[in-house]
Amino acid sequence: MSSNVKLSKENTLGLLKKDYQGLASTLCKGCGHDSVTQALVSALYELSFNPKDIIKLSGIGCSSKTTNYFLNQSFGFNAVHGRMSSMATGVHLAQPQAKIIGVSGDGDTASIGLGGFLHLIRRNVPMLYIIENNGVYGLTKGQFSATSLKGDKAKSAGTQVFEELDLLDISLSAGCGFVARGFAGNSIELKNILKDALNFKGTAVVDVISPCVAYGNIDEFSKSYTNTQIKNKALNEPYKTITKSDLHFEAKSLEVKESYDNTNLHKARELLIKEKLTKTLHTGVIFESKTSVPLNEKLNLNSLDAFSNKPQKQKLSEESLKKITSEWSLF
Amino acid sequence: MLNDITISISTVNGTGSQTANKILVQSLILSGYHVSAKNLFPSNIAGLPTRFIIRISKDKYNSYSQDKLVDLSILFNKNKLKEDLQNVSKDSLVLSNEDYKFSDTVLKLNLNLLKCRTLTKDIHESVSVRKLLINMLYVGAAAKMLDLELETAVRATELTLKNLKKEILIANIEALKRGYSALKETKSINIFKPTDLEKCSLNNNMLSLYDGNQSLALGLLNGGAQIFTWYPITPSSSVAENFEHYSKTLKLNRTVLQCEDEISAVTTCLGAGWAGARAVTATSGPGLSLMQESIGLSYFTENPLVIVNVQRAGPSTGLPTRTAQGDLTLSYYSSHGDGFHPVLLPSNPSEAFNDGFYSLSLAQDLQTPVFVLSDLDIGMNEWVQKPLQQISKSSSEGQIQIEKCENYKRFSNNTLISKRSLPRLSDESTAYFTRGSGHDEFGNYSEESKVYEEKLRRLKNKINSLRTLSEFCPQDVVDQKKSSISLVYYGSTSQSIEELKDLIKKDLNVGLVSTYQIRALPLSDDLNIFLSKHKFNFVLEQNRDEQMNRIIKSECNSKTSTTSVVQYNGLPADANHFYKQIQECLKKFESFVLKIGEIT
Repeated sequence: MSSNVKLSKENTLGLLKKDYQGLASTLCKGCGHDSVTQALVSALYELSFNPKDIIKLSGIGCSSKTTNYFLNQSFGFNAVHGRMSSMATGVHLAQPQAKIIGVSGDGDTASIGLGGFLHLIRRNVPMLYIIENNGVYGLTKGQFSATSLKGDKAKSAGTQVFEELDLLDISLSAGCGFVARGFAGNSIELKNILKDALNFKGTAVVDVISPCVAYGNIDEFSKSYTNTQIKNKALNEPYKTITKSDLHFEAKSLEVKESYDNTNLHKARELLIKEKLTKTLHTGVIFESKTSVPLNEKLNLNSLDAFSNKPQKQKLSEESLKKITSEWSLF
Repeated sequence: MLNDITISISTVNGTGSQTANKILVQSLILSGYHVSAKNLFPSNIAGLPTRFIIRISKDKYNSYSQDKLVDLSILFNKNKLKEDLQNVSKDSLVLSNEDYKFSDTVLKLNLNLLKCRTLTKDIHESVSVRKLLINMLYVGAAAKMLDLELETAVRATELTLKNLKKEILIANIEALKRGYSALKETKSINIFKPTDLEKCSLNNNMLSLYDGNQSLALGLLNGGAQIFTWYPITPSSSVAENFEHYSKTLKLNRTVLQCEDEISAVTTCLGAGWAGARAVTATSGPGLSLMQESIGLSYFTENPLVIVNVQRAGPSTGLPTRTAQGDLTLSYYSSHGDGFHPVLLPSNPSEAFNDGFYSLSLAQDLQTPVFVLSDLDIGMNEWVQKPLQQISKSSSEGQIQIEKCENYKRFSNNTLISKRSLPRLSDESTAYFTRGSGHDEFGNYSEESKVYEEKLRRLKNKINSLRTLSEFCPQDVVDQKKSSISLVYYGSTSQSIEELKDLIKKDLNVGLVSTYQIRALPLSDDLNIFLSKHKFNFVLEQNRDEQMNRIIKSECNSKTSTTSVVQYNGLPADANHFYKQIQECLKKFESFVLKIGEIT
């Protein structure tokens, strides 16, 4: 499908791009999250997803507010902090046919919701899991999150003394079948990543570096727009010369001239290790499994759709009841 | 002649004695006796002491008694002989294994010894099977000492072990027979004989033996639960396990998911409920503590959620294998901020079946979290019960908005409960964004004071509307017009009530005692009227903090007086334990004693 579809054009479902929009954003002007929202709207529109089939989920935080800013025609649930994964699992059990899109943040995923996140991946709940990753807790005014780097300085949080949790590395360790990184500052690439993720059969984790203009956009902070641009390298794209250096990142980065095979798990993990050594960030689909078995197939849920099959209408038959209770009889 | 007999069986946990004990219980029931049994087991898989207490009562009492002397003490834990002799007197009969070494104290008792090793030696070639057969030796010997017929004990063995391999069944029966005839000169217990009438009514009732976790699981299936999420915890695990087992046996195709913790279990359950499925989760105290936040989310976003709590003794890890009613207020007032929730209070496994069924309908109707509050005594002890009967009512689906609806208000304040729209099923015009933050009638974000206030007021009215519902009214009220004493109780405390009533009547010379079983929270309106009719209202419960009494005091008319009577030792409800406190209390009221004289 062409990526140059004009706004006014109908997609194959006969819908316009505005049919995928939501309410006006209340986030700060320039927030990376709004770019992610727009990339997602474009991806859904271009892939002609039916808004009725989509269920939007989120946790708590600035990122989690964004589910209100797209797909106004779809149902959504803004859950409690860190519990989007559990909510998604429940929704999937009830409605295996629904397309689930979840938007979470680095606080929501890497700290309070880390346990649930790992188990979501382990069970392979089919959904698009977007992490709008800015390294800070925006809504509570700028504390560090667990994805900020050691040595990072932020406007109100001081200096980070702990090492980062790399959510992509963690996702691969937990057995995630689709792991990608995007950058809010590169919306066309991000849209294409999201399209791939939306077509994946299983948990698709997309970690988007999405800078916080209020608390995490100074030069001494690794997830600022500028620093991300400097160290960013797109997978399978020609190497671009980096000219600007800063406190954290060396100017010279690893060259990725050869074609990258993202179906190779070993290569994917190697890439993430190299990134740390060379202080670079690669965007693109880092790993995509060809053998993903989603939860509905593992548990054979497809016959259990809450609407196609309604056992709640029926009590147990006398015969069924007897079959169990006769085992308890003393006579 | 003894009309009230207590048998204590001490074994090491993990040695298979549980099945043997069940055979002894069944032998007694088949012989026409009224029996209740409690298993007091440790939080351990193998090696620690476990005690099984059987009570045979002519008066059909079921209450457990901590202080009562043991008539027959079966000692099959050689490391705990001293501790196990606490309630044994010189009149008690003692049955043990000849292979143990005994102190002089034990040797002075009415000791009957089984040559266990010799007796089981040639029954089966496997050592592990022979170890299990030792249990059948004491069942046989006990049957003899209780003057039961051998054929009855054999029949009980066949019924209990019907699913085992034939050769194992034969070996067990052989061990039973050898135990029965091993003690040549033994005394038997001077036990009462059931009348023909008692035997006859027993046969007509066709009694069953099951625990509340079994019946509750079946009740939930019967109520249409499609999805069960859980995290393993004693004593509730077997609710989920039975649910899965029965679902497979009956080919019902329901989904069971073991989650990573209780936070996930309850949130997954809520997600499934929001998306249209009938979903349930089961836990115990520590798990319920973890679930609090999502319970509030369910309450405030008005989505169905069913939580089964099989209580154990807290706080903290507490006594994981002992019973209590200590989670009443935690359940009722779950989560932060304002809120209170429907809590169903089954008093036995049969009611647990009904409540399992009903909880799902109630959650759909009310769009709110609903609790089924059981406890370890109900959930894990097998109770002698009448067979379960199918419920006549049909289950409710709640109100769902499927069709197109312009200007759809998901949370209208013009009615207590609005129709709920469901993702993918309902028309797009009814799509809304569900949030735990403040929201208006359409579900849109709102921080308006008035909007928030109105929502909270409506939620309160919604739960209050239950107070007049028949299921929330007590099923078992005995309102004696001339009585000045009433007993108010709920849950597994019920099994001590008959005996407690008789103790009060006999010892205090009171003619009549009224009783009121609280079946659910919020309290039914008629409790107030009931309490106002009695001078002394005793509220019985199994927790230290008088949790039900506090709820009564906060919800009922301030003029009614109640006195709290509690038991919090981890043991099943004990009529004598309650009685002592009632006695103490009444002693303080000399004028009352005079008044009783006038009435009787």
